[in-house]
Amino acid sequence: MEKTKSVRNPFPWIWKIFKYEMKNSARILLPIYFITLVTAFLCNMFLIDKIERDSVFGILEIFQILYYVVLITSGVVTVVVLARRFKIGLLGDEAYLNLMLPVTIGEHLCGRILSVVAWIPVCLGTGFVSLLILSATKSVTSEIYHFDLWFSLAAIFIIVVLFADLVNAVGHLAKRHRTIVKIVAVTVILSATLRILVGVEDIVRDMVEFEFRYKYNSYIISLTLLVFSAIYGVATYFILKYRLNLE
Amino acid sequence: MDSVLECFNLTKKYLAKTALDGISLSVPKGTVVGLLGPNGSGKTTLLKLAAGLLQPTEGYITVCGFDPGVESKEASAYQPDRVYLNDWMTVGDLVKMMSDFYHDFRTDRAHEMLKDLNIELDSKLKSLSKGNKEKVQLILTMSRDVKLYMLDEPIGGVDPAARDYILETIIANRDKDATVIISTHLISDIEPFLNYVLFLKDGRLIRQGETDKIRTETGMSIDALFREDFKLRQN
Repeated sequence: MEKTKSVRNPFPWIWKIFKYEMKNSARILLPIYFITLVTAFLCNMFLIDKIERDSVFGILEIFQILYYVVLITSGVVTVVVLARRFKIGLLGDEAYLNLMLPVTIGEHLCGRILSVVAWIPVCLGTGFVSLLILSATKSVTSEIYHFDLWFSLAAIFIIVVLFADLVNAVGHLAKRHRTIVKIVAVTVILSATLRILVGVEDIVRDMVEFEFRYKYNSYIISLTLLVFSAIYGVATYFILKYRLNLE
Repeated sequence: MDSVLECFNLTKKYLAKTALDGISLSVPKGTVVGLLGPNGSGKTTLLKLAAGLLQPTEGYITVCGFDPGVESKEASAYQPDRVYLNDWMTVGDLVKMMSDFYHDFRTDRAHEMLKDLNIELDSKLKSLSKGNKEKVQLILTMSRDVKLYMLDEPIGGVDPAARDYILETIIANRDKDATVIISTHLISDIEPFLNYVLFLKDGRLIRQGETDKIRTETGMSIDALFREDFKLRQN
């Protein structure tokens, strides 16, 4: 006879998952953020040298290109690492360890999403500080002080990671040809999302005054992206909870 | 509760293949159970269903009275047939992680077994051989105080010298009421420890019962009986 299930506090378990996820991703992400800051600092040094002595022509340009490459790479690597953590930890070999822990699927997902949310300010903060380092000697565009830009970037990071999680979860449902299933999932989810977004935009255009829209457009878009992120998260939860087949 | 694992009409299908075909069984508590069968007979599928890593197509399974879920995972320990370890961790990190998640995890027992098998706590898992990784996994599983241990091929990749230690450790470390289910092909190695067997063939349960009774009835050892039951017919 089945025993009755007890209700428990999920937060200690979410915290534990979060803690180990942070530890796991930190060993890759922190060195990358450090390299970004060092590259910005080196650019800054050569910039000062160039202004004062005008003697290092060429090196500054190389470092500036390198800096932007490292900056973009750090953002891409952040998304890839966080999406891979989900795939390996809940759908790959490591899932045999993680899914045997006395933790519910919801707690697993919450802990992981929390780690995504925690890394975004670190990643964006690194980008912001590195741009500030550059701007110490050169007037970097004032765009970097616009909060809405950073908020939009954060929303984009979240939706990309949760989108990747959902696509991986859908791909996992297939027994064969998982790559094809994932490509189909990307196409279907993206087109559905875009179609809904266009509809939402039409509604917002009809309901909200032009001035308000003009002023808060990026916030409206970012919030819409966050709503879609939540939908992706819920869909992933149901797939893992009811259709998990770790073969 | 006299049974720690119960299945009723348990069926698992993968597209056209039926991995388990309507199995109904009840595993008594306090026994060491051999889950035996040739490759593809459904042993791993049965253990994965019990561990909640697969969803049954039909029927149900309960572990220590619970549906597979958080409660069953607290009451049982499962070791898969593959290496699942985080390569970047040290053995000590992993022991700490397990004690963080399982209230019944015995850190002292884990340290003792690691020492006996000459595995250092500060060894990176990446640097361990496959056999040593399997030993670490087994130690982590057996360092818990639970009512049911489910071990899928626990000694398959381990050298014969360590096998006896591991098997004796499995038996010695469990509580007298705890049940150990061992899925393996190495029947002769585990036969002295078994007191209950389940024979699976093509997803069906073809034989189950106490080892002593089966030996008396058939006049054969479990190893010999297995070879007889699963003998490949030559044309």
